[in-house]
Amino acid sequence: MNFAFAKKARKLSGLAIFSSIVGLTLVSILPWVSETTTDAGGKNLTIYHNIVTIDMSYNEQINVLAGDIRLIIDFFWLIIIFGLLSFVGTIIYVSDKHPRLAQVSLLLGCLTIIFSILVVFVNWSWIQKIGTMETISASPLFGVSNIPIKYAHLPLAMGVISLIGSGLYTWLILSSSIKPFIGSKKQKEPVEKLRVQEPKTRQPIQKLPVGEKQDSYRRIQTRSFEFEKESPIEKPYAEEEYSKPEQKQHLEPRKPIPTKQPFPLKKSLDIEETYGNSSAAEELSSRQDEPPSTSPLFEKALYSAIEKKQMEINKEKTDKKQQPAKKKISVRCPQCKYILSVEKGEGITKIKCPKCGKEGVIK
Amino acid sequence: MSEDPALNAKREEKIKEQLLDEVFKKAEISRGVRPPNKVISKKKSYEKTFPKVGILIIIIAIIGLVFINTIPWVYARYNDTEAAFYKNFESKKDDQQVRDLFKSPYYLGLSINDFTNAPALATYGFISLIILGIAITIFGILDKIRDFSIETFTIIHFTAATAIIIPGIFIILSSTKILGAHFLLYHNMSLITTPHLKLLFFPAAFAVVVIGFVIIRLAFTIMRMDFNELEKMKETEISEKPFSSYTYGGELQ
Repeated sequence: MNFAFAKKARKLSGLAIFSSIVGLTLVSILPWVSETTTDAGGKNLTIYHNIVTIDMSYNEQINVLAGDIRLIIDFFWLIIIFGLLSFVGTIIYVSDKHPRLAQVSLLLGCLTIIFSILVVFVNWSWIQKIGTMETISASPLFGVSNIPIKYAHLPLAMGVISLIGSGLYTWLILSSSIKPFIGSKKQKEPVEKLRVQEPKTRQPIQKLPVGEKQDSYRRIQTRSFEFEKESPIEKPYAEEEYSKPEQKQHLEPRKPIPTKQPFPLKKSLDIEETYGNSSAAEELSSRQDEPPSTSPLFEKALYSAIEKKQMEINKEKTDKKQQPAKKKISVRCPQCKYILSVEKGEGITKIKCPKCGKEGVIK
Repeated sequence: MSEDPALNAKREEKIKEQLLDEVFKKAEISRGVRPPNKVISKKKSYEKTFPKVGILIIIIAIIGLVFINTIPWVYARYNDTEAAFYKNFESKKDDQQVRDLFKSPYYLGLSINDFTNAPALATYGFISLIILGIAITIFGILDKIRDFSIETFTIIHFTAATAIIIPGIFIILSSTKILGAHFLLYHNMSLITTPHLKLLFFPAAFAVVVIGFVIIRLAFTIMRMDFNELEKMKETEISEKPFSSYTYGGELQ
């Protein structure tokens, strides 16, 4: 789940919705058409018409234009509805619940681009169409005929903004939907190659004496720290990489380090603060991104700790192994002749007869 | 300030132990000896808040209803005379000259009936908003009882906020006809025969459109807040770190 992706999708969808709402309002408010007529005295009159008065007009040419404006209104509504669906899709996507529903909602939001294109196309063709007519024309902005911008251009501008928003949204959604398929194709090949190489590169596990075992374990641990900076796909192949000769050089035994040097530590450091305070921990964690610099003192301390831990683990294992299995034996009480079953471990086991209460030991 | 060397040494030892333990665990995970666990976390507490938005929407809708009923829908000034017409085109003194303005709606696109329809449509819009506000508030109360998951809570809250936009648009569109008439009046003034008309204004329609846009803006804000809340909540989960970390080879500060 990608929050940045969802946030971007929400913003773009919001842009398309808001511009459509404004466009819808402008379509209903603005005077689209100006009609030039002559009055009884032969004087030229200009009448402005909006969507309401267009319907009332007796001029057939104006009535024809009304159909296109109604189409623009319908398309704006459709952009709003599908945009709102995509809005809901983003929150479902972020919540990680119902991923299918989220995907469908987000994809439905892509339909806004079609309606945005239609809005722009119908609006533009409307302006072109009215330009060819004689008695009627597109109303100039504020009634100033010198200005090339008409009122009809304002909803067109909203349509263009909506188109930009929905276009970017569609690109974002579709590219993210296609990405996994492309990614899977690209990844398939190297994974298969690695699988083929696997039996060749894997070394048989050799039994080593305890001392050598610990030493090799220490080396592997050291290597694994360096793998932390590598991509996660490479981590499982850490062992294979370890077996490469050029990396073996890196794992040569290190020179002895003077132990009397103090551990680099700030005097004011408090353990509780360092580990209890999340901000301090975050600060430390942010340092993980920096390239590691070698500290021989720390390595030495690390080796000793790993050795210590390994020893403890080995000891636990050996203790478990060495624990003798308890034998179940039957013993007859010398006093009451009652036969009782006893679990006998190593050494002396004390027993007590449940019938007469006589105590004794088994050696 | 002098520090006890024994105490300092003890501290050092403790830090060393902790760091080494962590690095050892990391090493184990990277080696594949131990599966990566997210048990130790620095999860911040996240609490759901009661949705006050429902109450806010109810308040806005009530304000809208008050505006519809108290602000005049038509305000006209001519020959030093003022006339105000309220909802359903009611006036205290019946002004025939203003009534004549809307007899032929060819130039303004407005008839007297529109002053009955527009407040009615806006009223329905505000009532539907009140219903939505009540629904959100009830949902908030239900959440207190049933304790829905944060995701469910946010999705429902977000969807309710999205639903608010629809009545918001209807409220705006209910008055656009009147607003459009205002624009036409500006352009077709020379054609209107009412003598000495100085001002014709539709205050209630403007107020309703402004309230409609405020509602839509509020809905967008609620959605953004819900989104951010969910992100915050998810981040607290994601921010789980297996160990308090230390850079290998780095210097402790």
